[in-house]
Formats: sequence, C-alpha cells, structure tokens
Amino acid sequence: MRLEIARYPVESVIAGRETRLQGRTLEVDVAGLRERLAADPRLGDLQLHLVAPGDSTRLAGVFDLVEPRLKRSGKAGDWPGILSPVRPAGWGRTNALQGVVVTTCDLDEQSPLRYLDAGGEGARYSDYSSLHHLVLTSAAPPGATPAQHSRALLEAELKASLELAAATVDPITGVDREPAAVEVYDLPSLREPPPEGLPRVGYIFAVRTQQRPTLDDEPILYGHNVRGLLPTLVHPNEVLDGGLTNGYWCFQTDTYSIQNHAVVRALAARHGRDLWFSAVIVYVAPTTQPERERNVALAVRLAADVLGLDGVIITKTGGGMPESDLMLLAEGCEEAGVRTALVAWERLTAGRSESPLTLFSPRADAIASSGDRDARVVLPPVARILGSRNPADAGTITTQMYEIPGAVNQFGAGHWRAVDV
Amino acid sequence: MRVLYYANQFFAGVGGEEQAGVGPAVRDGALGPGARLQQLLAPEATIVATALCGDSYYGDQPEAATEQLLALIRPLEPDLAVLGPAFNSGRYGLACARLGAALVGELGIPAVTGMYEENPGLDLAREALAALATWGDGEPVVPPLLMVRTEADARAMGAALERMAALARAVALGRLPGPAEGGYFPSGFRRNVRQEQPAAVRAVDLLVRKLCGEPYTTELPPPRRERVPAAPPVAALASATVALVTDGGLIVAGNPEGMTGGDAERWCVVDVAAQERLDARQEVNHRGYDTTLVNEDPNRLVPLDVARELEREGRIGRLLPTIYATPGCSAPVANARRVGREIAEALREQGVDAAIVTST
Repeated sequence: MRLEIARYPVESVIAGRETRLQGRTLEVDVAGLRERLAADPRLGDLQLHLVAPGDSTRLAGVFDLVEPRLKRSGKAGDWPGILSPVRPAGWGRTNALQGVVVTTCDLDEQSPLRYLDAGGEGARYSDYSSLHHLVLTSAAPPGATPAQHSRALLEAELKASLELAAATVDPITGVDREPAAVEVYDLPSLREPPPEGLPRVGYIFAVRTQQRPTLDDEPILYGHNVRGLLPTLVHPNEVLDGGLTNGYWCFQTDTYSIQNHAVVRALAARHGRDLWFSAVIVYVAPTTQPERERNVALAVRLAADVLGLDGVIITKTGGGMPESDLMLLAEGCEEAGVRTALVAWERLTAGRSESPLTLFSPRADAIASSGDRDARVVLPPVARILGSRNPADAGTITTQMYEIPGAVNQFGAGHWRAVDV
Repeated sequence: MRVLYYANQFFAGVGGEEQAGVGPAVRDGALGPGARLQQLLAPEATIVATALCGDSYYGDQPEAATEQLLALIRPLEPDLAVLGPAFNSGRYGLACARLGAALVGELGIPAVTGMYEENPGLDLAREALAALATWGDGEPVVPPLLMVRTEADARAMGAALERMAALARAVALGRLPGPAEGGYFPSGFRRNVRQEQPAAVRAVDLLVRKLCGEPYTTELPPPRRERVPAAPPVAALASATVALVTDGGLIVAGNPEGMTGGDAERWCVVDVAAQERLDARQEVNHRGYDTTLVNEDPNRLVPLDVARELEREGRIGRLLPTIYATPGCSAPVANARRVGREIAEALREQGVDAAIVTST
C-alpha cells in the first residue's frame, strides 16, 4: 500500500471571512463554520474559539483532538465508515495541515483529559500546547442523550477538520497547493516476503478498553464500535489514514495521535532497513478474565502462527486493567518465540518506584517508559478557560500528568520518561 | 568543605568482634579507610573527624546510638558525611544507613555510604528516604542519602572509596549524576525527564537490538516484590470470629465519610449489626469498574447474606458486625500496605480469627 501524506505547515491562525491558506497563515471562517456545525440539533450552545501557542488559555473537558486532513486520492474518502462508505484507507494522497488541531471540549462529560494550557508554565508538559487549536465547546441540549451528543461532537470535529483541510486546495483551480513536504508510506502487503535477514515485525495495537463500554454508534474501527472484537489485522497505512478514531472516551489515545501514530511511524521509518513491518494487530481489552485469556491467545497466535512474526511492539489503552493485557500479550508472545518491546506508562505514588504497573511479567524485559502518569504538577492561573463551567478551573490547579492531553500518550508519542534518582 | 567520616570499631582501629560493643565516640582526623578517603577528597575537602561505634552497640540500641552520635557530630558542623563502606556486613550497613539518614534528616547535610546489594542497610536507607522525601515541582525531592554500589567484601575497598569520593565531590558541586552513571543504588524514587526521542522510537530501538542479539536495557525494571508468608489455616471455623473486608468500594449510603472512588488512602467501617443482608443502607463508590450490578445489590460485592446464613447454621462461629472497606483502585503499594496493616490491627483487637476479602 502506498500512502502519501502531504504536509502543509501552519504558523498562524486567524479568524476571517473565508477559510483559506496563504503561505503559512490559515484564515478560518469561524463564524460561518460555527453556523454550519450548530445546525446539528444534537449539539448545544456550540462555541468556536481559536487558541494559539502562548495564549494564557486552558482547555478543559477535552473530548478529542483531530488533525485537519483531506483525502485527495485513494480507495477511500474521508473518514470511511463515519463520513464516507467503508473502503480501504491508506491508499493515495492525503493533505494534512501541520501545526493545527481541531479540539473538542465536552462541557457535560467528566473527561479524564482535564487541563491543556496553551501558554505559561503549564504549557511545558504536552506537545499539544505548541499547536494552534480550533476549539469546539458544546453541552448536550435538552432532549439529546449523552450518546447522541458524543456522536455529534465527533462528527463536528471531523467536519470542521475537513473544512480547514480544504484550504490546502485552490478553490478556483481545484489543484493542490504546494506542500512543504510529502511523507511516503510505501509498506507491503503480506504477499511480499522480506529480503533475507530482515526480521518480520508487527505491532499489537490495543485500540480500546471495555472498562468504559463502547456505545452502539461509537466509531473506533471504520466506524465500528469494536465491542467484542476479536484480534484482527489492519495494514499500518489504515491507522494513519482515517481507518481508526478514538471514539468517545479519550484516555491519552486521541485521534490526532492515531493519525500521527508514533509506533506505526517509528516502525515505518526503519522498514526495509533493519526490520520488515508486516502488519498491525488490532486488539480490544476486555473486562473479564476469560475474555482476556481468549483475546490474548488469539492475538498471540496471529503474531506467532499466522503471521510468523519475529518481533512485536505492544502498547496499551485504557486504565489499569489493560496493563494485564499488555503483560499477558508480552508473555504469550515471548513464550511463542515472538520477541517483544513495550511502551508503558508508570503509576508512581509521589514518585515511589515500588509498583509501576498493576501486573508485571518477568518476560517483559524491554519497555520504553512514557513517564510517570501520576506525577503531580501545579498549573498556574490562566486568563481564559474553555470547556469548563467552573471558573475555578482557570486558577491554580494541581493535576497529574495523565490529565494533560498529550503529556502521556499511550502510543508513545510524548516526550517524557521516568528515570531512577 | 568539612567532612565527617564514620567507621565501625574494626575499621576505626579499635578492635575486632570483641570490641563490637564499644559505644559512640569521635576522634580527630581520618581513621582507617578515612586516610585514603582524605587523599581522594583533597584539596577541596578535609575530613575533620572520624565518628565510630561498635556494630553490636549500634544494633542493640539503634535509636540511642544514633542520638548519641548526632550529639557528638553536631558541634563539628560538617558539610558532608561519608560512612563505611559496609560491603556485606549487615550490622555495619544498618548503622551506616541509620546514621546517614539521621545526618541527612537532622543536620541537612548529604551523606554518602557504600554497601553490597544484599546488605539489609539498603532497605533501611530506602525506607528512611521514603519518610524524608517530599514532592517538589512535578517530581519527588529525595534527600541526598547516597548508597554507592560495592562488591561483597573489603578487598574492593580501593574502588569503593574512589566511587564514594567522586560522588561526594559531585554532590557538593550540585552535579549529582543519576544512579547508573554515579554507581549508586536507586533511591526507590523516579522522576520524569524530557527526552529527545518519544517512547515509541525508543521501543522500536529496543526491539531491533533484541532481534539482532545486541545488548539492550529496559527503561522500566520489574518491581521488587515482597513475599508475605500466609497465616496458618483457621483451626476451627465453627468457633471462629470472621470479618468481611472489601476493596470494592463499599460505603454507607450517602457517603458520610467522604470516601473517594479510588487512589485509596483511607478505609471506612460499615456497620451492619442490624442487618441480615446489605441493602439500600449501603452503596458502592469505585471508579475502577462498572458498579451498576453491585449498586443494584451490594451483596454481590460483599456477601453478607451468605455470611449470615453460615453464622446461623453454625458453620462459622460469629460474624463481625462491621465490614471494613476501602476503594483500592490504583492504590499505591505503600498505601495499600498501610491500609491493610491498620485494618488487620483493628480486626485483631476485636478478636477476629479470619477475614474474607472480596475484591473486584
């Protein structure tokens, strides 16, 4: 599969009469966009805001973040299974605005992602603080269920991101503007064997935990709610190109970090050099032990017996319970002869290293730390708070790393790790 | 820089095991290994005195020995202390750890000691650090009690002293390296540091090294586990007092005690003396699992109904009329240990013979 992601860097975002890209300045028809999105009766009191890096602004109740992208060619359209028919994502050309993100904030839900500071001392924990945000805030109107509101928020962020990404195309000629760079992901299907000596490597991608059960129309994989999903295969490009979304519960697994998936890109970068990136195994973490044993066994046999992998990277999702899945997957793979390396956060109380994870297999001997997720940080007061009804949220806040969107990404995208002192 | 050196009776030149009962004292200058240490620390630092104590004296009355030594050392106004190294000598290691921790805690000076990885002094030092550590700006502030790694016996004295002196110099300059680089044992704390490359890239690097047979080092070493021996079985259940305990977040309806739904630091008592089964007088507050079913019927979490049956039938002697509950849910090991101990003490005071713990 060959995917080209054309990157259009944005260095400033301003409100204007139309949405267009002039050099590296993105002008956004904020008022018009708001009007178009607010037509959805499932959204209530929809507000749009522009937030720039350095602004004394805090985002609370973060529902999801999406990078504005537009399919230009390929087999699927935009967001197959949600906004377009299900066709294989990951082919052809996709335009991506770089440095901009559409961020949705849900005023009702107790999102675990609570505080993202765009500027000041609180902005040093997450890479998302250095992005330009188009923020959508909404609360469920009377008559709309939380499920309906969540679906509406998700659709709104995707539609908003499409309107922004459309600025990468000249409206008169229909020709793409000149991108700053084009990333090529030319990764084979299983048909193509690796050259002699290159190890076959895969990625076990835990996409969702059922600790928070997925709702009927909650889209995760091509719009499907993955409830009861047994381990299955996707091509790496599908991850990068709209085949997967976060859904309604974001625990450091936002859609932006799926589109720019750190593990997929890290493996793709070394494909053909010192590894052969064979496949991605999509895994759903269940909440009962019999289901867990089943899913782990099925994922391991996919890796070992069906794909014949030499090694896998494994990441987790959700909270503490899926740490068991992470460790059981690692153990099962190692015992089946598939070598493993993991990305995992650490849960340290007041920095004590006693028990970083709820379960730990001695076979998990190669783990990259994405940091102590429980490290307490104090955020200073900010001038503006978005996504919260509580004005005290603009004041001094004591929070933990995992509550800051992007600080401890579960796919290993953040820039923190924990070290012994 | 004024340095205090500490040694046991043997290394201070007082005598062997027969002198292990000698009490605390301070002598001028650098005794025993202190002499070599002085060479290594010169010219920036001077060992102003050597404190000493017999290993048995220290072991038999650790608090008193520490107090006495502190009283002797305080007037010397040292800027830093070096203790040992104790290698694999248990009593010596414990003394170095205790005195080192006291110097750090009471005099506020860095203390550098050295021991072998199996020396029990290490655990004591880590516990002392855990008590002294505070939380700073997004990371733990760990007091400078540094335990240099040494070999098991004194033949490695030269290398141990060099490492201890180097570390003493580094900490005095405010340039303390990490444990791996500095050759000392991790304190038991970790902090977040910013990395050039994200964890995903580092994980792929680890995997490729593994696959190529190259050396690799995990960033997350496995935790040290405590072995807890099981208590002997209950001799006669029909005459035993049994208590019900849960970490599933059972609370009195309305949550009058303000119990959290997780990160448990406390426990509460749910009085069920007047009840044959749990009912609307109880609720469940726990954010780690879906509590719908247990809130519908809390007996699904804590089976008071069945326990009462067993009591009526005489299968158990007596059921404690109070349930001990905590939410657990990401409770750090240190907290869980404390909560467990406190509940166990409370149960023991009430003559409880056995507890049934229902979990999630």
